[in-house]
Amino acid sequence: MEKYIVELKNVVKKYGSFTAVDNVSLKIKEGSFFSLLGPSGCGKTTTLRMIGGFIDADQGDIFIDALNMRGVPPNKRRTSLVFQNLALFPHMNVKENIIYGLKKRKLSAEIINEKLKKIINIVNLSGLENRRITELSGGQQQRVALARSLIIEPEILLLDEPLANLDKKLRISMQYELKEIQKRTGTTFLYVTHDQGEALTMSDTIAVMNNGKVIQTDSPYEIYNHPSDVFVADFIGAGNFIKLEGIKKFSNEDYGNMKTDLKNLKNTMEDKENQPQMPAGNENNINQFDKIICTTKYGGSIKHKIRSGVFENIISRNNTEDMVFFIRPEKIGLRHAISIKTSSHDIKNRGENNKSNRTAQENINPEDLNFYQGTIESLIFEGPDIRFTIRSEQIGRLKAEVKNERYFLGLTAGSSIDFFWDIEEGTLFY
Amino acid sequence: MEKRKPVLLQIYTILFFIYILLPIIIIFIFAWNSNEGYNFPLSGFTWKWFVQLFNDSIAKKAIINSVLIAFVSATVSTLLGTALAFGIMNSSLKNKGLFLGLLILPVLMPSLTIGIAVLVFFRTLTIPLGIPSVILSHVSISMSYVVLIMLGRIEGFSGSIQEAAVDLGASWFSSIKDIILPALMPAMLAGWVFSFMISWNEFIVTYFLIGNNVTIPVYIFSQLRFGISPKVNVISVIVTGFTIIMVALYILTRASLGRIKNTRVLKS
Amino acid sequence: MSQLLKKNKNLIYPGFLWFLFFFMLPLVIILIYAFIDNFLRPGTPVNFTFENFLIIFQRKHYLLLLGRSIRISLITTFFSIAFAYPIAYFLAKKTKYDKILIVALMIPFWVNYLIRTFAWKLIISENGIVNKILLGLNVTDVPLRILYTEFAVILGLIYTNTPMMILPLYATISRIDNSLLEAALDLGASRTRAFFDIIFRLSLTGIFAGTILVFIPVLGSFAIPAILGGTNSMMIGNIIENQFIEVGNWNFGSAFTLALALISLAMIFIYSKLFGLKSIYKNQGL
Repeated sequence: MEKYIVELKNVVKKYGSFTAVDNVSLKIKEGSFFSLLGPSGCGKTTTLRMIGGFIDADQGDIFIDALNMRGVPPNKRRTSLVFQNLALFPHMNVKENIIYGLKKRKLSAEIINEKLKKIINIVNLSGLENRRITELSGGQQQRVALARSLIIEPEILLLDEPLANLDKKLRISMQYELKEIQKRTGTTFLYVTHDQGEALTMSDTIAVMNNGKVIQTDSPYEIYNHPSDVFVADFIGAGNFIKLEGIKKFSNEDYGNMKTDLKNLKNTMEDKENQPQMPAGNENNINQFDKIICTTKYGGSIKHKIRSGVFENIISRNNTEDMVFFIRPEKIGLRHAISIKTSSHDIKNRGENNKSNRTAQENINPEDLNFYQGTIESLIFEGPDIRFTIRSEQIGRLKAEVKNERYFLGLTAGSSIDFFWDIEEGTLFY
Repeated sequence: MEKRKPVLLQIYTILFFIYILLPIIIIFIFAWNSNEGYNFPLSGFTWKWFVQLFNDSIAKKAIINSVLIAFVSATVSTLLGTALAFGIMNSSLKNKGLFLGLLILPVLMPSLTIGIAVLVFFRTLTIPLGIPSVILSHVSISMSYVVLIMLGRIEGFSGSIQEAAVDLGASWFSSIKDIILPALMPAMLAGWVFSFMISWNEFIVTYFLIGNNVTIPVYIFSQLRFGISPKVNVISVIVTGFTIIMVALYILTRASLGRIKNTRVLKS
Repeated sequence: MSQLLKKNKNLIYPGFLWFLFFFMLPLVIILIYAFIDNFLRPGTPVNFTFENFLIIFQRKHYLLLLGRSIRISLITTFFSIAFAYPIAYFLAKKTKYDKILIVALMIPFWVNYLIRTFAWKLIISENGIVNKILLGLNVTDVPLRILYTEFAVILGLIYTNTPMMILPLYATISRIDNSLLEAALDLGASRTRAFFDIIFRLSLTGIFAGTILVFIPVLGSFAIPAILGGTNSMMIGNIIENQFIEVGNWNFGSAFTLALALISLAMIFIYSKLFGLKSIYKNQGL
């Protein structure tokens, strides 16, 4: 059975008229890596410090190991905090820093030494025990702070953006190391960060916070792919927000139009061997999902799949003002625009190149594909990726991101382009 | 861990401030008390001690001398100290630490040693004592303070603005006059006010070097040694009032320097 | 650096020459005087001697005086630390009005210490406020003799020098990051333990800087013992003044002055070895 080591129930913290933490409830699984993610001032650090006992909650309760922590000072809680600035004691060396907590617990010298050896191994600090703090590199200081907290064997290790002051490369390698140390020690980590990449890389569970509230608590995969609202979608990674004018259910008439579209597509692709086919199991999906068509303000339409019942729900609200379709740039596929005038040789070549990247989509039923034509407004080469800004008459301006592959050579601003995405991708916010 | 109100500490702080301020308040009260006896209850309000002070030719001389000495030595020490600090900052001196260590000795050594040493020095060279000799040694003390203030306040002052001026065709002299002096002006003003206050309050060195002349602290000291009259209170009130103005000025120079620093940060 | 900018270095000379001529040279002359037996005058023969120093250690009177001066300075320094520390801590960590309060402290600090000493003379004299209160409360029948004692001298010295101690202490304590204290608590230290392990330990620099700034001037003070003290509470400064102004024994006076200079130089040297000279003036809040 899963055990929750930390539980917050309706916790509120106010500073004057400003509500820093607004009715937050959380459950943190024992042994997991849990991140509080949000922009600065969202209340994540306040939440962390309340769990650590540095700040008292105004309302609500915090339980650690099922015990209510109300009025328990930090030195009596089985938590330990790794500070953002690390808060290493400048007048003590590495060893003295690490064993400070054990000394306060009045453990015998042998036990202290034994634990010190063990922790030094875990955090890779061997040989540096007698160094002064100022003689250490940023990464080493990080490890000392970690060791100093881990050695007292807290039930939860609280980390307040400890990597914020490191340079990018070191930060990324420390992310993996932190995750590794967390697995090795089995300690519950509660990690506060404003860096979504960091949270996605390390966490088992992420709670996204904004304006003192927890917006969504989920696995990194779910948070990224199925953000619960516009804020989460926008905060985690990049995305295109397409304003909608209306939605309707997929009808036969639409299907007819689609057929012509499909025919065009098939012709232009000159790809007769790969007849689009319904993927297996699609019928089952239909039982749970509705296909809908969203209309953009430019008159274009976006096919999308939503859970059945949602459509009726939206219609009954009778409010289409705030409807937004959200799609991540890397979910958009790109293809050289194919015009009838292009020579067959050329097309064939392109088609072959096309197979090498994920934009080929041969096995997907074009009915399950949104397909548009547009022009490239600008493109930025970023090393592993190429970022495009595309403009289309039906959709408006979109960002798309593809892998750096030869196929995209020769595309410049002004080039015509075809782009598409699977109707299962993207999210409809209403 | 909510911050507990440090009640005891607050009470202690209030008591401490009373302890620090009360004696000065008492001095003030007796400057307007009509009775000479320094006794409570107070015997009535009077300006007569002020009148007496201004009829006291020695007291008047003391005030004039004090202002003169403080003004001249502040000006000289600010110029010398600023040049010294700027030279130190912008040169690759070997043993900079030792050099600075020597320079701050006048700040750290007991002023008694300085007073005696300069006294012996002038006497040995048979230079007569008096206001010039007081100014000479006040300058060597407050010059050290100016160097410290300059070094503290213009830390990170970039020499590249001078290089830019020279690069654009300025001579060395005009690069100092047009660029460096205006940039250092707020810190120099602070140094001047500070030097003024040092000199204005200085007693020991002055006492040994003033010869037959007198300054305010020397006047107060002689009054305190041989019987006191409320004239001392009056002169204290004047000195203190003037000091408060100077402290206010000093704080203002600090604030204006802060603004200059900020604008530089914004630009970079 | 361009040839042109090397001229900046020449700016050092006016000030530095002034410093050499009007500060260092006089000290050298004192040094010479301390080791000879007569005035430096054209036509007067002088001999090298240790006699001037030997007198200090041979006459009980001078030894007593030296001991008393050091004792008074130590007591003053100790109490100014004790009085100043809570204030500095409060200003640095427990209030947001620290800037204003520091200014409020600076103003009395800049009021001439002779005036402040004068105030104490009024307060502790036989018909001063303290005695009025004690007599009024029937604590004592005859006015206490406080003025013209060693106690009065210490009282005056503590009063005039405590602000000197607050500034460096405040500067060091306010630089200590609060998270260090929180970290110590978080790791299991009690509040008291955390205070001593972290705040007090890290403020030692400030305590030493303050000690330099208080101990040295107190050891060389002569106005306050002259005003508040009697013949039994004279300090080195009073002897030196006496030798130069009244007795006219420059050689012996120079030896005493040199001793005073050497004690302070030794303290400055030890301090600079421990913490670096920079921290003295950095902490003065100039």
